[in-house]
Amino acid sequence: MANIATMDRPQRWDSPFDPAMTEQDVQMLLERPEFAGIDSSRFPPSLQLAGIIQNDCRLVRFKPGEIVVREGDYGNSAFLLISGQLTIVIKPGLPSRLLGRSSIRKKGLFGAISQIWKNSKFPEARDTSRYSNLKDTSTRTTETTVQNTSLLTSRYADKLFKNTIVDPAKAKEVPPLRDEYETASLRPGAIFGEIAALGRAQRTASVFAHNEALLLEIRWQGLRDIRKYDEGWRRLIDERYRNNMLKEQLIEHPLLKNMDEQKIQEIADHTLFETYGSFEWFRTYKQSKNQSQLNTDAEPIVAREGDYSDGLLLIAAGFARVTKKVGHGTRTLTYLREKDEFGLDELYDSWKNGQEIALETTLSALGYLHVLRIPAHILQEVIFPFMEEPTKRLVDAAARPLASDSLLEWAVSERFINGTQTMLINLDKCVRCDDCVRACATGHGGNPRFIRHGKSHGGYMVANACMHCVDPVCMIGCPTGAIHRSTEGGMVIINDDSCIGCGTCANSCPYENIQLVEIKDLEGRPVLDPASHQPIMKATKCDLCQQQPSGPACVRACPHDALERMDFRKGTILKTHSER
Amino acid sequence: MKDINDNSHENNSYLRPNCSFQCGRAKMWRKPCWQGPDQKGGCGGTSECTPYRKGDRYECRRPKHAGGPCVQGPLPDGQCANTRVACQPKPRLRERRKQFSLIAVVTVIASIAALMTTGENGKLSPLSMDAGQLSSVHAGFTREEGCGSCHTVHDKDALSWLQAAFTPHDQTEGCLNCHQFGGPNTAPHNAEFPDRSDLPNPTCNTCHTEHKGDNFSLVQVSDALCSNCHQSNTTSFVKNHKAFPDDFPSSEPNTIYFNHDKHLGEYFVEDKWLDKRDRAFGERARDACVTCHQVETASREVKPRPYREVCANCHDDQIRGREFVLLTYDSLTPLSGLLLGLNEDDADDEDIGGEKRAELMEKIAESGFDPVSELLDEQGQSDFTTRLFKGMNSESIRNAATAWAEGDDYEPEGGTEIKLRGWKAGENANGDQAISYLISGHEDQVIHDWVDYIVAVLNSTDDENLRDSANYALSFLLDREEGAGACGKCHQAGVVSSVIQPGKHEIQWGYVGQANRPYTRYSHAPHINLLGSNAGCKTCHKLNAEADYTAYFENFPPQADQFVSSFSAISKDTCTECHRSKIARFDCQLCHTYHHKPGFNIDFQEKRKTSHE
Amino acid sequence: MASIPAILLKQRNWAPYAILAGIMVALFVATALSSTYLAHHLGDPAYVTGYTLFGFMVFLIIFNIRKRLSMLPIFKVRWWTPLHVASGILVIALFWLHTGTLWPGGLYEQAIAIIFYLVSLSGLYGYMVLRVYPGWLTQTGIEVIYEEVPAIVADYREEAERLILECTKETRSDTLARYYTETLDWFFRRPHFIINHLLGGRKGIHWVNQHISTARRYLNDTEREYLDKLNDLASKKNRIDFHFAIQSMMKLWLLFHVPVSVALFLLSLWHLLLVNVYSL
Repeated sequence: MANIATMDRPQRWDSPFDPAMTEQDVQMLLERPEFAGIDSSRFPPSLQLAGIIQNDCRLVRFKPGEIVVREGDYGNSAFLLISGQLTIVIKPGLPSRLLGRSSIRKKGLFGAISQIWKNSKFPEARDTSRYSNLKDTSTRTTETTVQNTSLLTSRYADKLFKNTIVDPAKAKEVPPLRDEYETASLRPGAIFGEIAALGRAQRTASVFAHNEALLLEIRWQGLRDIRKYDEGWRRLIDERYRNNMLKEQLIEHPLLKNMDEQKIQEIADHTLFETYGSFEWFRTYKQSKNQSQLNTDAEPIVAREGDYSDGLLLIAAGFARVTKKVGHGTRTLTYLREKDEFGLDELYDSWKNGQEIALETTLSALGYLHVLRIPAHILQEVIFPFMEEPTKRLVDAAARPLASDSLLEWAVSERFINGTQTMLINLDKCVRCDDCVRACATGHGGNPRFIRHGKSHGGYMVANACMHCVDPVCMIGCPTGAIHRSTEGGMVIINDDSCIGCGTCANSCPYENIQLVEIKDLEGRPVLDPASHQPIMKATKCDLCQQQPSGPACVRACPHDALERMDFRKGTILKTHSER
Repeated sequence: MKDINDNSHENNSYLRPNCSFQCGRAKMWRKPCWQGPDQKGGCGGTSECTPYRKGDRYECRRPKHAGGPCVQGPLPDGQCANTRVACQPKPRLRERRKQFSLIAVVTVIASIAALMTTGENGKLSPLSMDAGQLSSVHAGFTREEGCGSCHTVHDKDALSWLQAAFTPHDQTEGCLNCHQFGGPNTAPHNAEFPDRSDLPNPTCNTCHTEHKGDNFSLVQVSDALCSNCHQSNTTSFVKNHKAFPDDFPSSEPNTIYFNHDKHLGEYFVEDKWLDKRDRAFGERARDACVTCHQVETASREVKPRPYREVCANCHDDQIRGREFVLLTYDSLTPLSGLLLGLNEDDADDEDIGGEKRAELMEKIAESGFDPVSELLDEQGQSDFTTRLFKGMNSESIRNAATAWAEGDDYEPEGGTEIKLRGWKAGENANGDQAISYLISGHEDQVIHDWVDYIVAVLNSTDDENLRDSANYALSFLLDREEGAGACGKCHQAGVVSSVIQPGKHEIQWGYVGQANRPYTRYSHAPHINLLGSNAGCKTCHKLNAEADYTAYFENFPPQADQFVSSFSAISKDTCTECHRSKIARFDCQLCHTYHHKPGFNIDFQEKRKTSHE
Repeated sequence: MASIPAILLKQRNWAPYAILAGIMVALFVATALSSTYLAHHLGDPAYVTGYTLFGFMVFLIIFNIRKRLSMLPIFKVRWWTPLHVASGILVIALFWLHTGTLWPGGLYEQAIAIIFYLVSLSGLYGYMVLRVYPGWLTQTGIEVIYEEVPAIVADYREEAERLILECTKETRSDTLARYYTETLDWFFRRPHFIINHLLGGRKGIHWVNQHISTARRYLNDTEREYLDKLNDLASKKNRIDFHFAIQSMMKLWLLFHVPVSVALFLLSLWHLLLVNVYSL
């Protein structure tokens, strides 16, 4: 008994979003029409609305000109404007340097080197006193605190505003931006950012405070729970989700790049919005993987080879497989993801030649898939007359030798296509020296954050290291938000401080890349929960060495050029249609 | 059994290759325990878990990745049911590598330290630095003192070592304890070249490397070393060494007039001469150069044998019995003119010369030889008094003078004595009454002394009169045809006086070789050994019939620029016939030397004695 | 096309190696030329060759240190490895340039020389091992982590013993059990045929096949089913043995190379000190 340390098992709201939230704040918020209309009796006793507001929300105040959200950021929260006015910059985006892109605090040279001797000699040692401190202080942030950037005081002010600002400090509201900026205003009661928060997607536009503004920031767990138990919010969120997502995606789609607002609106009015597969695709995927060989039949067919197409399919989110029948089997030609389209070639040919042409390939959903369907008549009226004839066809990929398919088939069936930083090891070069593992351990307090073992195929191995997925399913279900995307670069990171070791993420990860570890204190004693006497666990995984000055240490350390962190899309064979 | 491809997070945990130890069980090919060794290399656990008491019963706490709670569950007393004997964890290969490296470090440092003998006062003396065997020439003197003989820092304390490590030094000073040179020690070629102040001063180490084994030649250096300074285009003697001068090697006039062409072409060949002289010798000399040249001591030069062995065979008769006349009863000779301080004209003049002569004769008649010594005293040449008139009978000349004063001929007492040599008064070979001297042969001392006397006068006086007189006297003595000694026939005495030191007169009687070129060397000996002594000489030394050898000797005083050797010049091509690759050496050092007069500044005999005591 | 990660290219790109080789040759020529220049300007060529040699030796030895500093952005280790190999070869040439001989005089110099040759040879051997063996491992079709080998071997042994017990229980015949204790037990104890595996031989699988087929004639159908399972297990274990042998060699050569390199470095350092104290 003497040789163990104890601490309370962390709970869902152990680390509230903002400990400074008071009862009065919560009361005030509950009285606002957005919350007053909610039937709080539908919430379970352990997850009361007041509790959600208390723990999953915080009040933030912005001065005129200060940026609230930045385009391109990964955000885990949505906002409700309580008072004041915000401006949303629709296009063009604000200069990226103005958006700050605050970097994660990297270790300095000495800090980096000192790891060699400072690292604990005990595996998974933690300073447990830190965890208890965190509960009381308000300084806690999951990421480096970012000083709010203000448009008014920025170096780019001259380029942003029509007139020069005389005294930024005293300005009560932001003067109009130059004409090239298209903006819209948000008034109290507006909710925004919910798409990025729930869709695990990047923010689509920047928002800044027009005048002094008070906002309620709701982290996505809270938003998720409110949406789950309140019909009104669900309708609101779904409606907006559908409309905004649709328009954003149409605007950003390469095919519609040069369309004017009117045409986009016309297209949007007629576009159908469809989803395939399940939102939590990884659960069924893991099950089917355990049961037997994956078969493509388990993937819902979106469009079938030989059928006639009634519209162009734009991929809005998720992945889809493009296949073609070869002999007695099906062959994967490529896979599609966000911003790719399907069926263009056939529809264009049909329009041009005036006769219907059947689909040359089949499209099936890999797990969760959002598709926008633009009907054929809209294409013929609005789009085809103004676009150039496509030079490359999706089916062109069928020309390559069958033998070259295997890596793609493997990557798709193992869903490595999801990864952006997949650890690929060339086994013909790897001398099994474990330098990568040791380097990783050095950068993480003496603990490796991956296992140099994993699925292999044709001399390549994808090691069990976090791939920093495009669709990070591990983030679904984290009760505390400990697992999140870093503001910069979108790396998936686990905040050790708020992780309660529930294992949800580890169980969600289809690639088994998250490991739960039993922590020890600095003296090397196992840390146990005093109640159950079970060890305190923490979820751990690769964080891409975000604190190191050098980027992923495993790549740096490999002496034989055998290890790479890569996006499978970068391989020629795997290039998606639109990138070719 | 666990599938080796199972990568589920439940069944796996991080592998930690950064840990130093591995389970001792694994080392014995048994199943390692899930805990693994602890950080100090001790056994990590003798039981699968530490069961926890919950209420009144114990619960297994084995983690999931190790298999989860065990089937048996804990024993009633709270002990784990799966206990095992503690293992002895073993270091991993990397840890072993670290240990081996440490052993390597310790071994190296210990070996170095062990081979460092620390003498008194913490002096360092590393035996571990055997830098290689010394050359045989240096191995001896260092035997007693050891490394310290040259390396001053040896046997010093650690601080001196540290200082020495950061201060440049070389062994030159040590070398000069024994070695010395004919000029500045480190100056290039031990000489000063005023025009070349840019030349560096190399140290001994620049060219000479020690510790290369006992057979290593310290003096042999590569040609490249020479080209450090001599940055000519010469890269090889054969290819691009400049041609030898067209008067090589006899650029300087001979001091002995010996016409090889005449001797070998006529005198040793034609019966006319052979009959007249020594036929046997002539024939020998004709056939073999070594008849006249001292091949036994051949080195840079093959000197001619002495007069007595060679020239005398034919020429001795031409010298012995020649007579020189000091004065006759009625005239002065240039010699007596010089004694009286009269120039050529005055001496021949009846009035001036006659009066002086009469005066002298009168004095001689009165007091014999004394007046002559007085004359020499007046000229400051009293040293010569006895030498010039060695063997002269004072009484005899007084009598002769008396007789001549009275108008009589002088007859020595006891009748006319036929003298073969020495001074005599009375009738000479011409039938004149005279005081004369009969030359005894080659190297006659009195003639020598007279020449020395004349030279002494020439060197000591500025009086034009006297100098004229002296020059007149000199030619009277030396003239190759008429001269009393006819020395000039062979001895080009004037060459020396005019060429070597203009204005300063010196008679160089003997054979003088070609001037020494200080930085070149040549040895005849190996060449003669190889080529043979007779025909061999002619390989390089070829008579040149065209050459006007005599011209130089026919003028007095001779003009150096008129000298032409009777041999053709030796060209580089002659050398490169053999000195080329794969036949014979042709490196710089074969013919050129670097040091000027290298030698030792210690007395090895003395050293030997002291070292034996 | 430029965006294809190098790791996916099966074809090795030789251009960087050619450039590296060129640089190394150029460095050698530069050193040789400057030492010749010194020799022609009354300098000591050993000075420039010696310090160049020592400099490269420092570079070679800090490879080990650099590998520990993976967190620093000082060129990826993948660049250091070819540099290490190329410098290692260059250093051999520099060594000869410096000493002017294959075998120097002087006891201490000879000690350095022999250590130097040991380091160079072990390095060349190691490089060969690291270039040839990974491909062999890939061809086994399985991937095993070295540290896991004992656990896997123990696992296989337990499984084999379990099979034998089960077989005995089911068939009430101890033939297979007897055969196991006489032969296969030895095989399952620990990895075997190490040397043969290192040489790429097939002795291990041959041994297994031979012994399994020998046993077959004494067994009935039920027992043969167990024998087939045993055969499967033994073949798998043979592949583990192969991995163990190859991976051991890929690590063991360093067990020699590194300590000897450290010794060489110290000896060279002492040599440098002595030379400075005694003659420079």
